[in-house]
Amino acid sequence: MSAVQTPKRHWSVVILKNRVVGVLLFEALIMIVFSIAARKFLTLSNLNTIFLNACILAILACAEAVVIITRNYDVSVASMLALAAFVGFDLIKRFPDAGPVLILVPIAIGAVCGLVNGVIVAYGKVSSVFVTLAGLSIYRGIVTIYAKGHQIEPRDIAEWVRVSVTGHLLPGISNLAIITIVVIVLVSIYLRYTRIGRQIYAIGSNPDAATFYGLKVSRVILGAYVLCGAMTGLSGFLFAARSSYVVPWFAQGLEIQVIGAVVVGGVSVLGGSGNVVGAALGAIVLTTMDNGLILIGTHEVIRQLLYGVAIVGACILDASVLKQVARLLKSSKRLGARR
Amino acid sequence: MAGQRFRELLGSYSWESVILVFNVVAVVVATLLSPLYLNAFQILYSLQQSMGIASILAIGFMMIILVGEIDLSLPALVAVGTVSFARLSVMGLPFGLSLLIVFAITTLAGLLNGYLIVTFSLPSMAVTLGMMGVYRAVALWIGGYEGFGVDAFQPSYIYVGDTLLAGFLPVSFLVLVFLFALAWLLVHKTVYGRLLYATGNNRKATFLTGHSIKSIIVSTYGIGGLMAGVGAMVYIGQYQSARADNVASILLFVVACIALGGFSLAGGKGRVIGLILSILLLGTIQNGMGLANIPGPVQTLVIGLILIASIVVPAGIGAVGAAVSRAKNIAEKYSASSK
Repeated sequence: MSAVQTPKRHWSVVILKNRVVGVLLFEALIMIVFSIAARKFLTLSNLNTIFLNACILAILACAEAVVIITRNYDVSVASMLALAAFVGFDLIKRFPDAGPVLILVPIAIGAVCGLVNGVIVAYGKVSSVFVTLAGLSIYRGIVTIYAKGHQIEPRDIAEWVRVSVTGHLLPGISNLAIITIVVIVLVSIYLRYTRIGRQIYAIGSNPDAATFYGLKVSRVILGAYVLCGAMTGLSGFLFAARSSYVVPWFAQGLEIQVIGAVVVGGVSVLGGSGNVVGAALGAIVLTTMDNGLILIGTHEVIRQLLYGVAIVGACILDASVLKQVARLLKSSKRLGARR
Repeated sequence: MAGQRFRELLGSYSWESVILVFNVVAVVVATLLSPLYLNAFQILYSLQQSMGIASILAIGFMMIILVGEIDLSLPALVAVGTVSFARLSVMGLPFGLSLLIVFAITTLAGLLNGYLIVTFSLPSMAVTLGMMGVYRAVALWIGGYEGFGVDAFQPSYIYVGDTLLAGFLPVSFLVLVFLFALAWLLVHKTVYGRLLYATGNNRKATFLTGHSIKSIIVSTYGIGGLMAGVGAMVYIGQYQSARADNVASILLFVVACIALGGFSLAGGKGRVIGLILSILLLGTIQNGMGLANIPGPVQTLVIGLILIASIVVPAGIGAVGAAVSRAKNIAEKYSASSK
């Protein structure tokens, strides 16, 4: 029908449809700026460092994005990560003979934490901020009690762990990078092409409509939290293997960077739009900024400031785009405008 | 008649009554746990020490929650306040003048949060998370990595947080009582207070009755910022130090007070008396745990669990109530049709 034709060339629609391209362009822009400003920036080894540093944040951003797309939050990711990493590595230390099957432990712990968050948020129908804020302190409390003042040191970490993360299965590419790319591609495909994946988007963009349509909203939100938890557990394993020590306050405060990466990557905090590839790219953008600003010799204050400004700026851009799109949809007399 | 009125009163204050009962239970348990507990001076002093700053922040947080928004940046604003006080004290300014300056800074920062949120209609959770990063960076910029120690403060600066009147009554406690009285008047006895509830319950209706939603919301953020300034004033007296990472973990307490006090993140629900009772309860529990030598991580864990319980229990009661009324409906229909 010709009545459904929307003016497709409007800037807001262009941005909405090409968010990932937009993030890529922004990444290219800051890379150009940094390579002019700092000579060391555009070397192969530095770019490799940036990418490897971004990997763990990328998986976490991907995990958080799944929850944010359902119009919820999970601010407990950093604590879940610490719990999964600490308990997982403690078991690896205690059972050296069990071998690589123990990689399932941190993933399972993350999934259980996600399950707890998800059950309360989805079936209690209460604010996800409150619930996961409580989760943040509870999981951190559990890991502190579990640790009893001990910590995981480099000599406690089995050789297979180190090899599986920092080794090179393919020549020239670290296993960490391979794992990250595989995870993000899988989740991206899952969200884009499976029924549950589309339901996650549907619930995020309009929970009421999704309920009336007959989707099992609570169950899907619960699933999103479990997926988020499992991926957080995996990144806990990777993070701990890479930094080769774990303390109870491991990764404290990381949730700000994670949510920052998600928002910068073009995932709308109002739910229902954006994708995990964007979130992963957002992680790369933040890491690039961090790296470049260190090379230029910027004070830490500026870098901290930039995280905050990036989140707020991305929110403002997102909100104004959505507002424009809503106006366009209204003017073309289509019902169901986005909020 | 009197009995019925009492029952009505109890019905409308059911949540507050439950918290009151818990308060009594907590006091009894604490008395049994430790012989040191039941001592008016001990109770007053430790309540003030453990909950003073959190309750001042909770007053500001309450205003923001009432209109259905949230502000995660308040603790960071307290840090901005403490380091500003210290800097101004080192510069030799009289206390009165720097009080005005710091209150102006934190209030303006709060207003900025609100302004960003209403102007671009942004989700307050994500924006204030970003602003939290910004304000921490500002605090780091003002205070540096080292922060300030005892010798930075002139005696007049630490008067409010450090003085005991007549040897037992903390000045900051009087400030707190004054603030709660003011908050009670503002929320329950003025048109402005009624408008907060109206905005939280139904924005559209409030707008259509001719009130500016935007200015109401911005004003609550201004009050939140002001309370962060007051919190900073108490903090420097109580701890006689100022660093950019001050009160980093207070948010859990504030949110726990708010959730336990019967407020809902959706807005328009809860009373000042509920907040006071929940602060007393949390303070008593923490005081009792401290006297019983329960380690810090466990205390945090318990507070987190209380937060979860205070969210889940009302939701559960609501769900059960809904199920009962549905069953009643069906039963009525069935009995009507069988007739």
